[in-house]
Amino acid sequence: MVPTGNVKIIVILLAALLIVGSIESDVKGVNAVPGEVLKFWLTITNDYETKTSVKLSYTAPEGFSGKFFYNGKEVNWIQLDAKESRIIEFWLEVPRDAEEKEYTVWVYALDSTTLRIKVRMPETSIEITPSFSGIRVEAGEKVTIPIELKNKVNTELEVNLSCTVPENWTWRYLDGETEVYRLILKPGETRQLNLEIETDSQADVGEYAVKPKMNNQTTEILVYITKTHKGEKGKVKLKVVGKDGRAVESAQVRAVGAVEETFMTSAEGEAVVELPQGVYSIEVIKNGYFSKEIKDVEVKAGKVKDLGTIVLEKKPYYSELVVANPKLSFTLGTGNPTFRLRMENKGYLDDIFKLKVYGLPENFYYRFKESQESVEGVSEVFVKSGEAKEIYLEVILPYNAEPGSYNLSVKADGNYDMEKTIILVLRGEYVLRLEPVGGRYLVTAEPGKVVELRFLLMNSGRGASVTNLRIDAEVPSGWSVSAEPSQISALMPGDSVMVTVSTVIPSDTLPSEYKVKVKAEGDQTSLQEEFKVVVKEKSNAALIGGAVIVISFLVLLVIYRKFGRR
Amino acid sequence: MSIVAKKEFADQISSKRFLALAGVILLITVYTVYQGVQGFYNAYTAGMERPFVSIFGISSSLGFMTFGAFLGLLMGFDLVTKEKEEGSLKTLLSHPVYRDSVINCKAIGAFAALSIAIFLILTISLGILLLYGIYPSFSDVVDVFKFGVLTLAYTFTFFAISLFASTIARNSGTALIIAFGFLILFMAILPIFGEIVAQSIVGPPPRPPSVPPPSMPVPPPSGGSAPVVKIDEGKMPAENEEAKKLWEEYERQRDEYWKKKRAVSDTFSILSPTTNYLALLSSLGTRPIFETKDTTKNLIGFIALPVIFFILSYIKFLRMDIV
Repeated sequence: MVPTGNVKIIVILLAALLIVGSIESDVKGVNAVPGEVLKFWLTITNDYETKTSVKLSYTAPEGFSGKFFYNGKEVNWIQLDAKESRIIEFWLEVPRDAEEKEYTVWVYALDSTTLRIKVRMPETSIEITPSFSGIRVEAGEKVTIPIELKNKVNTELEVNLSCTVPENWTWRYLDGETEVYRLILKPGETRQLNLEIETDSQADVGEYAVKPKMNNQTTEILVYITKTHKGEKGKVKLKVVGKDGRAVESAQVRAVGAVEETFMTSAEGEAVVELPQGVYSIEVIKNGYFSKEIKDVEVKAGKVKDLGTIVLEKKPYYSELVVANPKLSFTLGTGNPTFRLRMENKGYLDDIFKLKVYGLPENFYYRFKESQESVEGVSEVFVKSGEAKEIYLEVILPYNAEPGSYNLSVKADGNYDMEKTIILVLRGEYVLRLEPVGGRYLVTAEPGKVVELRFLLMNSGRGASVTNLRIDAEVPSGWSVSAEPSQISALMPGDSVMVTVSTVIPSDTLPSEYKVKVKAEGDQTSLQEEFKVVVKEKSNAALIGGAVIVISFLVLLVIYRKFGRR
Repeated sequence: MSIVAKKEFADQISSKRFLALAGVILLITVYTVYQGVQGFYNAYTAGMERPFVSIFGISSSLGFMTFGAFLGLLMGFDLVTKEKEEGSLKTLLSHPVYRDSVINCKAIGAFAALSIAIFLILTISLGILLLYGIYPSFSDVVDVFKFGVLTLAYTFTFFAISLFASTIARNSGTALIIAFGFLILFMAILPIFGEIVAQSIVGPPPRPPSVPPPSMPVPPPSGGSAPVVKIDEGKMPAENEEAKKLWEEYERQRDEYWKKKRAVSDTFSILSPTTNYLALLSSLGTRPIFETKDTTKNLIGFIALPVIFFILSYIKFLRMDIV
């Protein structure tokens, strides 16, 4: 329909020669904005004496499009009676990407007319009116600012929404509940938008400028931070539950980001994790459950980020082997050491475990028992899902077991294998024994005499020698005591030594029964034995006493005999 | 002279009175020794040090203290009066003997008899101890010897008193009454009198201050279980200081009062042979680790009294008119 190139020019020239009508427009030149639809009213006159069909056309730069309307209908041809004039509407749409310059458009109908379109982008095509121009908020707070946009140009306006905010602040535009970033405004349309600004919790106290930008137009809203949370830690709050809705306690909550921290959930499955500001990846790990990771958790200083409830899914097979006494110190010769194990099936399926112990020295045996007193061993244990079973591991020691530390490994192999290291510390048995020569604990003596208590001191323990033995005795006051030997550097197990404890009974000791406590103290153990010393009067004491009395009476008799007679 | 002394000694030891009293003393001593041995054993097993002479029951009023005094008195009250009553004194003095020899020999004879009695009692007691298996050490034997000497002196004091009574009395009955009068005077009246005199000289004891002593806690109200309120020295320094001074002054006055009173009463009790005997005996048992009481005054009084009475009887006897 629109001729092009040289053909177009020739047609125009021929048409000019054959002008038999006219086309007139009141407006010859207009200013327009890209995308604007311009309307011209053209008066077409038929100068013929006859009825004539007139073709309506135009020539415009690329991108411009025009349409002719008559009586509200688009038309390409019109019929004019002789000497008749009619007004035709010509709509010309300026392309949206039109550059800012003057364009020329020719319109033909019997004659031609020139329309000059000066395309200019207006400086303020949109009227931006924020509800507030200054707001006071606490750092880290969110603030919503209603903004009214009005299309000031006579064309549909596509508006790109953006905003310039200080570092680490975020923004978004909301139309109702919908986040928008681009919108179209009809000519003259007014639209209400909400600009949501989230301030940085670490922002210092002070005034900041937020600049909403619509296309190339901006406005400024001032935000005054009244309180900063700089240096404070943020919190992440979460609750971990299983699929059954039960809280998962002691689940590990590992946050990896600016720092790496691990926390545990409480008995209620809750955890509040304090972290420096930053973006974290939070992983929730719990034995027997599949772990879960939550990425890009933004933690803001002084703010609590609630992650809500995190549901963990149980593994089908998972059990735990708990040793109540993983390090057991045991004295040789006092029976067999027993470890207490607990098998907890935390998976959602039942499991059977085969029990084994590795690392036992030669001649050491073991058995798993279902109770401490039981003498029957078990090799397999069935544990129902969600239940626990107590198992006792008795290590059977050979007679020649050496003192020392033994690292053992307990294995429970089922659908889920478990292994635990346990340590058995065997200590020597320190037993001292005292055996008096002849088995007598009672000695008779006289005042002024030396009593010798002779005994064998034996180490009847197992596997360990008693060192630094000091032998001493506790005697009544005034008695002197000495031991031979008084010190023994080491007494090997099974060895014995003859000891003599000598005590001098003072001559003025009254005849009675006395106790002598013999003590043997070593680094590892000690022994105390009591001997009885019966001190008898000197054998001649009674004789002398009797004699003294008799002599006294004799003297009296002699005196009486000698002087008693007149 | 030795003949008179021998005769007096023979008279003494063969008298039923002497034998009876010596027998009583022996029995009492044996009993006290038996008791003393038990106490000595108990103390020994409890690990306590106890003087060896304690086995003679030195603090007991029986035994030597009372019967010893009686023995001394009864041995001497009729020595002169009896001779006067029987007329034998004249006969004796018609022999070529001096009057002083007579009284000296009487004293020597009695002293010897008393010595024998005490020696025998002590040796028999020692024999009993040996029977129990108690071996006295050398120092123990020395202590027993000292005990014997003191006891001898004690009984001889009463002998001297009764001898004096015998020289001044007309007959034996009067002499015995006089002798017992002296006994009561020295054993009971003098100490009581000393106490009364001391009280009258020194006056009433000082009164304690009306404020409680500073270190003493204020007692809780009766019946209540209120906590004991301790006077905090830091809280009431002025009042506390004042109370302390008052109490110090009171203690000083009290000590002085008792010191004075004891000085006066001691002056009287020095004349009491019983007090002196007991004081000297208790100094025997003490070990040097304790502060020993000064018994010099007691010793002087203890020795002076028999000497004075013997000198008095001596003078009286020499000047006596024998009718």
